[in-house]
Amino acid sequence: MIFPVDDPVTDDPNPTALYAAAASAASANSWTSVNGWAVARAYTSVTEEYEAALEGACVADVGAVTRYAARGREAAAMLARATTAPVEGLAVGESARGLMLDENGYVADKIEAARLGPDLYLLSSSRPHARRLQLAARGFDASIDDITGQIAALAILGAEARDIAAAAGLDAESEVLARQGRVRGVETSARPIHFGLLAGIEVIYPRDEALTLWERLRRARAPKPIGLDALEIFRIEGGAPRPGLDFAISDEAADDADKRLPDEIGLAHLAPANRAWFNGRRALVGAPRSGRALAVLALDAGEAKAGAAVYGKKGQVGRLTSAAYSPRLKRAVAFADLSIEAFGKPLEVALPGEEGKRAAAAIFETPENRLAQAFRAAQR
Amino acid sequence: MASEALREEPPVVPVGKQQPGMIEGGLDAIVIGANFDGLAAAALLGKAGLKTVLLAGGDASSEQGPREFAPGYFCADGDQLVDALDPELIAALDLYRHGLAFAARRLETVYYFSDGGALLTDGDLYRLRDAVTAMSEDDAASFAAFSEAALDAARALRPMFEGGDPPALNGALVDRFLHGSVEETLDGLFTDDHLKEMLAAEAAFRAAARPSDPYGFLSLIRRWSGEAAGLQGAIAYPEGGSAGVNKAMRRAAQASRVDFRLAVTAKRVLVEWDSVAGVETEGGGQIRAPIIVNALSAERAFAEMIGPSLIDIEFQAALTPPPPAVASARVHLALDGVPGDERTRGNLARRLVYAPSRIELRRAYAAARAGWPAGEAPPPLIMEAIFPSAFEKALAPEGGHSASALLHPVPYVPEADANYVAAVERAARAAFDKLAPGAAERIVAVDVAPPEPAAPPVLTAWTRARALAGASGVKGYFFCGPEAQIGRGFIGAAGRRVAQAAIRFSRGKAAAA
Repeated sequence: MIFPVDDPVTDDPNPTALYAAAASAASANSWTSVNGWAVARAYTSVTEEYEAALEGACVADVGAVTRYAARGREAAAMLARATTAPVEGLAVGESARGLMLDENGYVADKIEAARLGPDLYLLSSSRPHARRLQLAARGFDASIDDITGQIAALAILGAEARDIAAAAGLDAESEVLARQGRVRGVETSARPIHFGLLAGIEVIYPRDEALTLWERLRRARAPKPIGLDALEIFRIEGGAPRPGLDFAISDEAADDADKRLPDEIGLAHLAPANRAWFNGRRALVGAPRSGRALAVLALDAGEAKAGAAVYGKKGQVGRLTSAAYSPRLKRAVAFADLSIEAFGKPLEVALPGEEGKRAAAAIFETPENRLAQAFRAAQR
Repeated sequence: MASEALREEPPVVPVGKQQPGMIEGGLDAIVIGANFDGLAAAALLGKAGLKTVLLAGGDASSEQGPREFAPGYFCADGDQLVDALDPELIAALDLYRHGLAFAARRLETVYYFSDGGALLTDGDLYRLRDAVTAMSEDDAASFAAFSEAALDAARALRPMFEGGDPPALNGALVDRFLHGSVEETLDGLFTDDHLKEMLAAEAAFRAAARPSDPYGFLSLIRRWSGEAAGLQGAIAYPEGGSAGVNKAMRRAAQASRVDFRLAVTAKRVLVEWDSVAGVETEGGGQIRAPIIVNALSAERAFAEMIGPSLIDIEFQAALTPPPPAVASARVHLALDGVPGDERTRGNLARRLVYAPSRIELRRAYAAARAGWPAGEAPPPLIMEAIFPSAFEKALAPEGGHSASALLHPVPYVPEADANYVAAVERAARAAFDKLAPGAAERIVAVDVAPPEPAAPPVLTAWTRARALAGASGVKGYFFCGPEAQIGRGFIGAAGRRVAQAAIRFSRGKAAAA
C-alpha cells in the first residue's frame, strides 16, 4: 500500500464507533467535526430532537469526547494533580467534574473523572491533552492512555433516560454511582451524567461492539437520536460553557489576554483554591483578572449569532460567543463574554440581518450559575 | 542483672547527625548542598543575620584538596581557571579576606592554529587588538570596533547572564551578537582565518551549540561578560585551583556563622499548604525553617524532594532537559620533565588553546554528536591547557610538570567506560602535541575525568533558569542548582541572587508580621 489508511493530512473527520448507526439515522445529513471525529449536527430537526429529550429521552453518540484511562496505585494522585476534580475522594463508581488548568491558573479544559475500579479511572475531556497528561504522570506509579479510538460511547439523555437505560439493561448503579457489567457479553460501564440541563446515563463499551448496544437500545425503547445542535441548546440553557468556543483554551490562546480563569467562565466552584493542591492552584490565587466574565443571556428575539456585539448604556461591553434558539423559552439564548461592569445593567444585542437593529437582553440564571453563587457565598 | 544486660545502649549519634524523629526549629533558613553556589547562598544568608544551617549531605566535594592522579603528581578536580567569578559576591563576602588569591591574574593566551601558526595574546581583552593588528592589518580597524561593541554589550547583558531581565539594547552589531551564529557573525566582520578561528574556538569552547547554530555567538558575549581579578574578559588561575576558591567560600560561610551539618542529608522538603516548612532528613528527623535554598540539581530539588504531586506540570517539564548533545573532557597529564623546546618552556605560565580550522571544528562537532567510532582517531578538537605546576610547585615532583587540559567537543556518555577513556586519551595526546611539540613523549600518566556536559545555548539556559527561579510557586523555596547558572565554571551569581531573594522574602515576612 502506498498511502497509509489513517492519513494525518486529511481534513476529513474520522468515523466514531457509532458512525454507521448515526449515519443511518441522520436523515438531515448535517455533520460537523469535533476533535477530528464526525458528529451529526441534526438527525431530523433540531426542535424535534430538543423536545423529544425534554419530554422523554434521546440517545447521542458521544464518541467525540476525548477519553483517557488512568491506571495504577497512584492514578488518583496523578489525576488530582492534573485536574481540579476531587479525584482522591471518589468512591468506586463515583464521578466528579473539574477543570484542567495551566501553570498560570488559566483554564485548559473542562473534564470529568470517574472512578471505575480501585485503581482505574476514566477521564473525559472536551479536547485531547496527551502531552499534558503524559507529563503529569511522570513520577507517579500510574499510566494514562488515550482510549477514545478504542471505545464506543453513547449517552441516553432526558427525563426518562434511566427508565430507557434500565429497559435495555444499561442503567447505572444509582443516581450517583456507575455500574460496570456485561450486557449480552459486552463489557459496559454505565454512569450517571449531566449535559447542561439534561440528566442521563453515559454508556462506554468496546468499539467492536458499537452497534450491538445501539441496536439493543433501539429495540428496547427506540429513543430518538439527538444531534449536536439540539444538545447545544441544553448546554447554553444549563450554563455550561464550551472550551474553544465560549472561551479560549489556554494552550491554544495566542494572547494571554484571551486566557480565562475559572471564575471568569463562571466555574469557580470547579476549582476551589482552598482545597487540595492541583496544577495551577498557586498561580490561580494571585492571578490578575481580565475584568471580563461569561454569562448566559436571554434575548427578546428569536435569533442571535455568535460574534454579535453586546451593548450597555455607554457602548459595546462584550460579544456573544455561542447562541441558539430555545424552544422552551421561546427566545434566543446565548453565552456572552462581558465586561464585569456590565453585569446587572440593561443590555442589548445586535441582531443579524438589519444593521443597527438590537434586541434587549438580560442575564439568565442557569443551574451552573446557582452553583457558582452558592460557592461564592460559602467562600465569604 | 538480666534486665541490665537487655537494656539498650543509647544510640551513638555521629557529629552533625540528627536523632530519628527529632524536630529541630528556631532557624531562619536551610541551605541544601555544599557546592559553590550553596556555600555562597549560605554565607550571604548568614551574613544578613539569618540563622542558617547548611546540609552538606555527605557531599565533601567542596572540601577536597588536590588529588594525586599519578605518584607525585597532583591535580584539582573541577575547573582550574576562573573567568566569571561574580564580583558582587566577592565584594559582599570579602572573599579576598577569606583566602581567595590568584596565582596568575591575567593569564596570557597562546592560540595555535591548524597550519602551525600561533598567536600570543595579552590577558587584557582591551589590549587584544594589538595582537590582532600584528596578525592582520586588514581586520585591525573592524576588530577594534567589534571588541569595543562586544565588551560593552557583554557588560550590559551581564544581568541577563546572571538570570535577570535582559536589558534593552540597540544597534545592528548588538543585534548580530544576539541572533547570529558564530560563523555567520565572524564572516560578516573579519577576513583573516586565524582571527576567525581564534574567536570561534573561544565561542564554541564548552558550548553545546555548533558554530553554525543561530544564537551561538551569544556564548562568546557571555564569556566576555565575566571578569576575573577585577578585569572584564580576563582569565585567572586561583591559588589552590578549584579547591582554593571553594575553601575561601567555605571560610566566608563559617565567618558568617553558618551552621555546617556535614553528615545530614535532606531527604524531602516539607511543603505545608503553599510554603516550605523545613526538611525531612535521611535520619527521619525534621529541621524546620521558613526558607530553603536548594543548590542540588533541579531534578533532585523539585521532582524528588518536593515531589510531582506539588509542582506544576509545565514546571516539571522544564526539569528534565534533553540529554546533552556533546561534552567536554578534562584530562590531567603527568610530565616527567620540562618540555624540550624553548617556546613551550616560555609558555608554562600561560593558557594554551588549540583553535581548529573551521572544517576541523565542524567535523569535531559532527563526530562528537554522532559518537566517535571505536578505534578511529577523533578529529582535532579545541583544547585548553595550562600547567598548574608552573604556579604551584607542589603539584608535581622535582623536575616534572602536571598539565591540565579540557577538550571540546567530545561525545557525551553518562558513564565513562574504557573505550571512552582510551579515545579521549588519544585525542588529548594528539592535541597536546600541537600545543607543546615533543611534550607528548614526556607524558608518563594520563588521568581522564568523567565527561562534563556542554553548556546549553545561552538563551535556552536563561529561559530554563528563569522558569526554575519561579520554584513552581512554592513560597520560601529558592533554587540555585547547576541549572540556575548560565555557562560553565565558577560563577556564584546564582547563589548570590537566590540569597538576595531569600533575604527580601524574609524581611517581607517580618514586615508583614
